[in-house]
Amino acid sequence: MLSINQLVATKVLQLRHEHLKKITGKEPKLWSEITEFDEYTIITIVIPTRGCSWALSEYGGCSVCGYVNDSSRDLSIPIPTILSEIETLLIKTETDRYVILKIFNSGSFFDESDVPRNLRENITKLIQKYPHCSQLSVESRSEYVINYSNIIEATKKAIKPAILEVGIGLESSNNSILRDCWNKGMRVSDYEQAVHILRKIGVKIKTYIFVKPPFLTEYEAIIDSISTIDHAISQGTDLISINPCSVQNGTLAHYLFKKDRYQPPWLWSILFLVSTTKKKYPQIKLICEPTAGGKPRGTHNCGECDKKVLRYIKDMIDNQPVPSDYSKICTCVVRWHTLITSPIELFRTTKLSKLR
Amino acid sequence: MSFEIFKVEGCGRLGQFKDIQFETPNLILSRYYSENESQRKLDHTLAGIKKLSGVRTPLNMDISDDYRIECINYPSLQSQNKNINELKILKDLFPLNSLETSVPTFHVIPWDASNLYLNERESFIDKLNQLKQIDIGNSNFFVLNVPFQQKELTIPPPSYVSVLMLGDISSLLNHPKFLIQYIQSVQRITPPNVTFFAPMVPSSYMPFLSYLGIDFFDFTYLDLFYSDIKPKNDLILDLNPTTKNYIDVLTLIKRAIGSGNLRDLVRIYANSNPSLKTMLKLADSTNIFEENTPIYFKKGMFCTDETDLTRVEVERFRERIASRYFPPSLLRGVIFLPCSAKKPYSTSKSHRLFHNVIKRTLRSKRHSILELILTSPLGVVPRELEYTFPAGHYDIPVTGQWSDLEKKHLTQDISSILSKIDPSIPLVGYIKGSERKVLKKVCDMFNREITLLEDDISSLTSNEGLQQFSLLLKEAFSQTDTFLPNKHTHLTFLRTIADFQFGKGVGQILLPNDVRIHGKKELGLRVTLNKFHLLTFRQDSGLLSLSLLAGERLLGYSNNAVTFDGDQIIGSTIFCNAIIKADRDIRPNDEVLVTNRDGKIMAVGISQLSGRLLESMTKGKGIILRKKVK
Repeated sequence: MLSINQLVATKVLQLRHEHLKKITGKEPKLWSEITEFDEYTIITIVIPTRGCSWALSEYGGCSVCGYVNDSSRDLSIPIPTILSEIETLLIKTETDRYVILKIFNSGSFFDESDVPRNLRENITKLIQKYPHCSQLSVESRSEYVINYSNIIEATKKAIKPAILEVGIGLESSNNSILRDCWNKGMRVSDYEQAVHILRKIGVKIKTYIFVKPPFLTEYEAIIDSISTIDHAISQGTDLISINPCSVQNGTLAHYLFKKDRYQPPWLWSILFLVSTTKKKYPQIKLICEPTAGGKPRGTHNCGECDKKVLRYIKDMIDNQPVPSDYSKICTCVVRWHTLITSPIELFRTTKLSKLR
Repeated sequence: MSFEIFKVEGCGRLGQFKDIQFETPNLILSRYYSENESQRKLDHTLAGIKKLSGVRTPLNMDISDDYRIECINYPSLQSQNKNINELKILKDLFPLNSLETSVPTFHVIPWDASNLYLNERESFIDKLNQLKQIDIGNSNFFVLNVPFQQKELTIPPPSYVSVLMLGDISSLLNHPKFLIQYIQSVQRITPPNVTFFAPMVPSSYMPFLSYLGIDFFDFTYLDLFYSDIKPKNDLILDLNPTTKNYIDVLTLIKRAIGSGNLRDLVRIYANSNPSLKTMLKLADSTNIFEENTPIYFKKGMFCTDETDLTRVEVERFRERIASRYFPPSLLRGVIFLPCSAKKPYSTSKSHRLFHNVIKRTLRSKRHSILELILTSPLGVVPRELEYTFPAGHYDIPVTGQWSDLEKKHLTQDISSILSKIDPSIPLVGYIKGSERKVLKKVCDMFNREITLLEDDISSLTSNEGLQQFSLLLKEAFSQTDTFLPNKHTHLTFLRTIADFQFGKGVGQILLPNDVRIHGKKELGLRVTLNKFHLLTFRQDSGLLSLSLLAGERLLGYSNNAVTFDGDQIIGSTIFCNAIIKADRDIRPNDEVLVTNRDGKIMAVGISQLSGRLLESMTKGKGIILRKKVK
């Protein structure tokens, strides 16, 4: 059963429709990147499939997600282009020892109305063809994991010996926040069930945790993310990806942002979350690569220390030393501290962008 | 809920929550609700930051016992993992056991965040109204945060809410129009026994917000200072951001309301900041302060800047002169005179000199001459009303330079008086400077002849000037011959005041021709009818105080009547809960008539509040009685 707040869903859908209408006919985006590390190489590719079924549904999708803007939607999916791009990337990296192929379709990889069956099967065939590719990372909403566990199992077998990793967006372990703030359309129990299934199949699980949905105060968002991380780890996720929200066009977040009723999280909040998680769960693998970090529409601080703090977040994930006294990094940490310890955000409907 | 009001001025009020003896206006402490678990998670790592950067919040500071009432802000319903549609009782809105407090506490009802940010104020309040209330004890007070929307609010807050929080005020401090609109739209639908709380405002805004009817403030604004943030515009009055400063300003506000000087305090603070001054002007133009501004107060009324030209007392006086004052019927001439610094005018040196000239020149004819004093900001003050508040109490800075607004007001007032005076009546003006120019212009406009002084006199009180005055009078009033006995001048005097105080035509009804008048104007007059005390003229307020006999005569003619619920009054005070109906025209300090349900007079007294408050409040003193039926 769907878990929906009609008020929010209606607004999200209205905003989504308005924006998608405005950008009709826009060419879908295919984007890729090769990142080389000491021991392995990561290929990241964002493929323009039809678009997340949830975002295109009558409920409008998640309140902060605008990735559907870059999908094909009504246009035909450029399957040959996608396949040849993947193959090119794999050929380019053939000399490397390990390659991790990350395919993001900003929807669900196992949803056939989003990623067509032949595209999915051709991708698995490519991985078989290039054995240096040791891992395939994809993403999916919980319901497609639950409903199409057989496809996941088949995919896993098909790409052997490469490992399959499935990313699931949890966002929050609080059903009310999932329903009213994220408009996620799922419950925590769905995530739990999906994780259970994936573990049984023997697939690596990555959990996405977005930080600070619309409506919540900075403090509430931090507290919620902390308990969400706790929950995900207790369910047995292998990897946690902390994603600070950014403001994307055509979303509820963007609508509120324009009215000064939403602000993306502070980098301090992210640094704080990462350090708390690191301290609490030293063994867990953590990812945090903020989109639009340091920009007005992404997670940012006062503007002067953004780059520094972004680097410290990276250092912290790589277990490098980071100053324990944040006020030595930048004095704006004191303002952030005021924001989360004082009830000022609870009094008012405007968010305090001016504090930064 | 047991809020009672002691004293009002403008929309400001001194009051108290009776059960906990907590007086308003007052300061409270706002804080986040801390459920141990989550709070610890955050503060654990933050401790380092706190210590090293020297962050201090006011909560850590020494605040005296008077300010110990806490206002707890709970996380939104979403954060509490709740769904408003599934909640049944009031307690469900709050985290488990958080209402079990032993000390008086303000609990802020947590919002449904999606309703809050998607402008669904009304539907949320509607849902709150449907929650079942259970006994929550005397120490729990519920606070509802009403966010700002440009749309008018139509649903009143639930009955269990005793404090309304205007949380968005702090974001509207530099948007005068919206701030006034915000406060008024909420006040319009709120019963008067609900109090208002404005969190996170600078201390320099407190006097004005009190004047607008805000009862509670907090120290949260100081948090910004303690964390090194420089306020955007450094207001001179906020340069000392300490809790002590807040407490001092609060004390000032309390004393100002107590002594009837809140408006003066507001003016001082408003002059420090363009935004505040704009708000004061906007608020004045909406006339919200009229209802609860007292009819008189004993202290002087200072008018020091242009906002005072439109303050309630001034506007009310000018309005009453225009609608209730009519020159006596046996009028044979009018003299326009300048005002004096000393009040009442007739006690000043200049007016004594003028009076001597008039007396020597016109002799008994002077009793049928009307003296009109031209002044700013009151416009035209007839001699009969020179004792009456605020004519006998105001003070202005005198430079001889009149502003355009002052001239405009004076023009209006002179025009209105002239239109009530028969064109055959000769006019004399012993004035100079700006007033002379205005008077000349108005007379020209009305095509009226006026004998004016040549404008080259250095001083109106010089011998030369007074001689000219004498000549002017002789010239203008050579034809005048009517004689009025002295008794009638006092009677006219009292009837004029009665008209001014109770409404047009009341003077004739209240004071028949056969009354006896004892005493002197300067010391107060006592009036008897058939040897029974009828009324007293009090020279300090310039108004009449009534006896039961006068009350009986006024029944049906006055808009100052209240209906008492009962047949016998015990004691010398009537409380608001015993008043079932009160005329809307009643203002604080007005003389009121108390009748029973059958319309029979029961007592006369002085109202402490306005008519609307007398009727709608359920607690507190309403009328202090002068006389009652034994």
